Amino acid sequence: MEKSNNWRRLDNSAKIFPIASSKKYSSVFRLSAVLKEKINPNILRKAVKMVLENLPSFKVKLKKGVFWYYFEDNNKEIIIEEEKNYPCKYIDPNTNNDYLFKVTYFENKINLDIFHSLTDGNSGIIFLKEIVYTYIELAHKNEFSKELRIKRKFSNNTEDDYLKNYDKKSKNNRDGKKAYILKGKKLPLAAIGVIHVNINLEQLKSKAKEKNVTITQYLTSILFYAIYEANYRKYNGKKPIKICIPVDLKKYFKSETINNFFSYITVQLDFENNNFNSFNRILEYVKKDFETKLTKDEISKTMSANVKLGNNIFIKSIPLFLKLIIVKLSYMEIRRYTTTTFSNIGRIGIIGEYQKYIDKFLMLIAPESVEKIKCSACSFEKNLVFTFTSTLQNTDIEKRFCNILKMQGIEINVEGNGVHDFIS
Amino acid sequence: MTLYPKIRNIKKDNVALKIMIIISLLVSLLVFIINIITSKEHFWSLIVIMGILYAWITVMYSVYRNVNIGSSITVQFIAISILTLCIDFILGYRGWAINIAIPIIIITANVTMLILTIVVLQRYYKYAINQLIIFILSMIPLLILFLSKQIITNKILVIISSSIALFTFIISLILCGKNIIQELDRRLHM
Repeated sequence: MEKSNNWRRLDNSAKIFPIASSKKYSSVFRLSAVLKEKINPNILRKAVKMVLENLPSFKVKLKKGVFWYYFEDNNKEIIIEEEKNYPCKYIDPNTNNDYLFKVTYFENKINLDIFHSLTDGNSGIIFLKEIVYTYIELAHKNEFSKELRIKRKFSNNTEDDYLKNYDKKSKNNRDGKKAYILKGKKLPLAAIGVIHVNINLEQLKSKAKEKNVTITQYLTSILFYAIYEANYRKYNGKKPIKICIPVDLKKYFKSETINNFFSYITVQLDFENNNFNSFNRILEYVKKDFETKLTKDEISKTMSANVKLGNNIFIKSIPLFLKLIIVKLSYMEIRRYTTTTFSNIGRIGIIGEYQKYIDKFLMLIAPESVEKIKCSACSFEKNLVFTFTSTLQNTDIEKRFCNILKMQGIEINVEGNGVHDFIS
Repeated sequence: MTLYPKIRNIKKDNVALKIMIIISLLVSLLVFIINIITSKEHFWSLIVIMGILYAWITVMYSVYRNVNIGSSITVQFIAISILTLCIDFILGYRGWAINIAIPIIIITANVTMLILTIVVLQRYYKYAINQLIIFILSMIPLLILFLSKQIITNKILVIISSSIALFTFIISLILCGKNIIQELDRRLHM
């Protein structure tokens, strides 16, 4: 008799995404690799198939249990398509052979859209890098005959490291104040506008060093300033601007999991009750807020509060169909505690021989009805790409962000998906 | 080099679906109004409305969900049972639904599941949960028979249908008991 398919539980973070997700709130992020050559779909298909054999934790489908969703092995063929839609759109399992990620290509670019239940950005990048390595090896067989024999090492551990590392006794550090929600007219037809700001990494680094802050702190401060000047002031905002910064927990706890293992801190600036009259004042405040919140203790508190919620016996015992109704009704309200999200996955390291084939990497997060703009960044070689994904028609925040960078003497160039060109 | 394609022909929400929903609602409203005008004693329009609702359940479940045959049998089993019960009540309850129609539906569903079990024995784990749901629901008429002697008047058919359901379940347990336990473990995990 054929053995039934393997299954595994969703990790603590992953549990919420399928319950809360819909066409309007996709919970999808995109990682893209732009190569220096046109993508061959046949080679890409072969590469993805090979990678999935080595990373079976991605070869799963989502199934409904009585109380929670769970993952089950998926033996269907993977679908590789040319990019035809906006990025980070809802992945409909019914049209994607039940897979929870989607691989698409366009000219020189390989896209990997991942449903957040499957993994986080840091493990997602492992998956994308493997696809890119394998693609390059297959596309340039003569040059990589040696590398083809070398098995790169990566973890296939699917343990829920939240459960291993949370502190049962830690106290909740959640801030109950709602955040300023970005205002403005929305793009029609559920369009998503993308703006990539290519930033000279050397100049950015030296500027951040000069101000004695990290790159993430520096970019977050510019984002605060841009939101304040281009949206908050214009619409006479009252509530604090809150930026959610995802944090890779692997930096704070020992973990090899390929599942989600991230938490977040919320940096906030109350413009209504404080006088942030210059960029340097904002920078100073953001740095201080980062230093207070980005400690193992504080991060552990946030993580533990979330794990305790997911482990609560009352919540566990609510049937899934009721969870779906409750979460869907309340999720819009829960989201109102963040103005935007800024995720910086940092430097993407690539093995030397492969570097010459790659131009850059991109990261995009799906915006939604409450967080109308989301920001992300990643760097490769001498370039950092800061990306805005937006459902707003106007690009005032993006323009102000670029102006501040230029005023700081940092070279940038801007690319996009043309949605905002069309609107303006 | 451009990074993104020009997006063309972005589908608005499914227009055809919206039109069909509007037509269904209009037809329902129309028959209801005609019903009210022509007769205030017999609410025959409710049968039409139930039929439309049943058709929608069938269409939505088959078209919009990537479901296996076991799930379809389960959904049809539940939907047709509810439909017959409703029709019986609308026509001035005579008990034919619970006494005749539902036992026949139970026999059909269980025999179909038995055939499915034998045919796809190697992939039975896919249908284990449906088998279990159908078995549990099939026992409801028998339970009613024990609790109230007045509701079920045709005992024989109910006993036959419940026996067939029990027999089917026992056969499935013998053939694929391990699969059923595994399926319960994954579906009921907390």
